[in-house]
Amino acid sequence: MTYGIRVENDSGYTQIDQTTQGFQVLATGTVAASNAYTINYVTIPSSYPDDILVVAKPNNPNTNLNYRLFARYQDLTFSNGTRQRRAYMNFAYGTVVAATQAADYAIIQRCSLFDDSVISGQTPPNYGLNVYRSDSTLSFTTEHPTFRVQAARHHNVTSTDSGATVWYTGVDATDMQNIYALAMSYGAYRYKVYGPYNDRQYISSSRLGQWDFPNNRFATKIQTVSGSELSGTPLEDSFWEGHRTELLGYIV
Amino acid sequence: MAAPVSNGAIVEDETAGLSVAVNFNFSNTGSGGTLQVFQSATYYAPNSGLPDDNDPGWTAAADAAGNAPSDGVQSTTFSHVGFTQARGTLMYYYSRRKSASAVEIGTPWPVTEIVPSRAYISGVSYNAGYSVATVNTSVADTVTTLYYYASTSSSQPGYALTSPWQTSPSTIWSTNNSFTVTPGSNYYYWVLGWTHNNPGPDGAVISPMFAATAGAGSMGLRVFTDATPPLIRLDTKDKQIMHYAAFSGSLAKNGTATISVGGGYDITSGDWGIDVTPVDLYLKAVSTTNQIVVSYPRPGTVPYPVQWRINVFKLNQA
Repeated sequence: MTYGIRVENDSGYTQIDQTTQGFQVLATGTVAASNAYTINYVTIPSSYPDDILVVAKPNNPNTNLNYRLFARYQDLTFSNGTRQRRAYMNFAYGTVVAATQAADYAIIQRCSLFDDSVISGQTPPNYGLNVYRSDSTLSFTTEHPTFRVQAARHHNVTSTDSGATVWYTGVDATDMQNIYALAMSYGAYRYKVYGPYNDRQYISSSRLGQWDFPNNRFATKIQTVSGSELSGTPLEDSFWEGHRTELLGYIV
Repeated sequence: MAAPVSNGAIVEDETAGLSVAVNFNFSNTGSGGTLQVFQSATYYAPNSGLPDDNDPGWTAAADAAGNAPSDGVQSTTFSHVGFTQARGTLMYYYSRRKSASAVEIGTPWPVTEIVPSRAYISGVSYNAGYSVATVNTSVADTVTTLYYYASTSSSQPGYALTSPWQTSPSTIWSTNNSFTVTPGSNYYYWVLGWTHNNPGPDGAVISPMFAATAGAGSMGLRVFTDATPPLIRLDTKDKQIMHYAAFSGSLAKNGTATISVGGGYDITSGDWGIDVTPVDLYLKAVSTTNQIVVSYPRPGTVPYPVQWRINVFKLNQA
């Protein structure tokens, strides 16, 4: 290390050094509740950089129920050159399988390679901690609200291993109400077709993030819906394999 | 009419939930009219006229299947289900038989139930020599008694009642929240929330485990906001994740793209993670060691290519 400070935490991991990247919050808001047939979205402003991420949590949840996040991120450039970036998100809850409930979201970006303009004009000025790289850009700042990661998980999803499990327990009684999750790719996991489309013979499974409020924990959950009567071997069995990363944290 | 006789309200305390389901039990459901039940945080004396006859809180008793009970002595306890009770509260349960304006109140009047709060350990503090550890925790109610346990083993201690007549936790649990520890050693702590529900069975619920090394601890840096009270914007327990890189492109049907991440990326190490968007059953992102292969083996006609994006995260910054 040639510049700035280096801080290690109890776990022996680097908390801050010149290459550390916090997550800075660019915007927060609420995606409205929807009907059973659509999922609402927030449009990412065109001025925002390419490397933004979106996190979400249930808006004003009933903590006697569990909430399951459907979320997908879409970045399209049309043939006329128009770019459209949307983060879709709504929550299913309790025994309701349709994603109809509103979501609080935050658009975040890795806090690095910023110059001082990011933190200029703050009130109060220069409050908190700024760590600079040797090229005078910021690698870390606490002047803006941040996404404080509390847990992270990576799983290689296969047809036999969806990775559905409980993987975070709230640290106090209200913790789950404050936890945001990375909201980019919670959705279709598997689709089995047993008959003609018109007969609606299918099983559709979704891999979702679940705020299990009654048990004060977060899980990756498979939610399944099916149509008509099913029997025999499926004509088609498609599943979304590959690697997934999940993050949980607070917006402060 | 014959009055109903309850043999208690039973809850399952030993859960992590913020509230618990209540079974309002009857050994004799009485007869005549309809068996009705009522839940309240308020105590009403017998013959006080309260709760009011027409209070909408009175509800017809029903079992888990929604069925009304048979009349009279029950060979197997009849349980009314449907009430829930928040942790850290005392609630009263009333019963009656009602037919038109005639009422026959149940006994006991009322049945009480106390549900313990689940405590969470906020930290462990030490004396100057780090030889005495004090567990920091609290609950916001007056019905829960806290007991404490410390061990060098991470195995959760027994805490549940071993019989309905048990009136205090087993002796492994201490009313003292301070423990003698060896500096530099790892310890695991739990707090037990207990309620003395006499004459009913006591309640018990255990906290999540809290692990700490006897010593200075909390190494690192903490930054607060200027809010009132201050909020922690950076904490030593935060997990420092690096959004290492973002890659994007488009793929037509059966197309593939290979990404070399660099920077020591190795998906098998456990220190890295990747995520792919958009959600598409046919968009595959498979990684072995230092590369990511994105493919789009979509069957049928594919009118538009998929515009994909891969985010690469460094999960543990050594």
